[in-house]
Amino acid sequence: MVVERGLASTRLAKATLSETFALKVGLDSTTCRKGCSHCCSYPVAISLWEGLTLYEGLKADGLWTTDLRLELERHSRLTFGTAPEIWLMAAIPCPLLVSNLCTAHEHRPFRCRVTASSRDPALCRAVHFHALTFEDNQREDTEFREVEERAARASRQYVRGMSERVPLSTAVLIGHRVVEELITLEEIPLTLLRLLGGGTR
Amino acid sequence: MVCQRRFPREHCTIFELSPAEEALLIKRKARVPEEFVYCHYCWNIIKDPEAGPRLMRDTAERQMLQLGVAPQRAREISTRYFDRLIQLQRQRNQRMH
Repeated sequence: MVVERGLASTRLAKATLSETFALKVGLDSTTCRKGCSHCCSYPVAISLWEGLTLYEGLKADGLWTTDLRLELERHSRLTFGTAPEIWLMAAIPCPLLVSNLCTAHEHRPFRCRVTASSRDPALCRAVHFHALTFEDNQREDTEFREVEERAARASRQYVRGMSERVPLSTAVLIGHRVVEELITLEEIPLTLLRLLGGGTR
Repeated sequence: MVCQRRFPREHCTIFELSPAEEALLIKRKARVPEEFVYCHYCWNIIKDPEAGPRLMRDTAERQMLQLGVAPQRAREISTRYFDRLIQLQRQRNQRMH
């Protein structure tokens, strides 16, 4: 029940704020096109709640396979704890990206929804990375985090550590463990600590 | 520390240059660091057969762009550098098997 309520809060926050962002930016004014995937190698950290919703979406669409799980584990090993600058320059593609297309586009995290280019898409390659290439979506991101946390608190299932931002792959793997009841919500901080134990992995 | 973050030294991978490598840097009038310290996370990337060469390729391209090299030229050179790294990696793997 706790998990279901948390998922509902995150879904609502994501839907509402994504729509607000789309209206503000105007989808026609972005230069993003299907098949362009430079931003799919950027560092994307999402909340554990979002990891849960993403896992549920992948499972519902029949996309949760052993191969995907192994790919997520590899991605998580490379990115968890890694400095964003190093992650960016190593151009580590999102494990959900196949042939330059997002396999989970419908369920993609808020961070991905609000990343858009308004200039030449070629400038989105990490080597050209410059804040001016992108719409300033920092404010939307903070707003999303606040709404997400507020919604979770209001429905009395605020669980410490769930709004922690971790790499997308780590969040989905934790989502899998929670939804499949391999770990409880209370065990998440410990699981993260184990993952963060630098040098011991 | 390559990523400039605080990280316990016991969890780092540390390299010292060989005399030959040091001599090469001196010859090229480059700064000779005492050691190269990689944190656990950076080292994970560097030792990865795919992410490591990509990091080196993109870092080289970015530096060239910052130094004013034409974008097309910078891309060509960094791609050649990347291909060479992959080739060396294959040769090393073949020797090991």
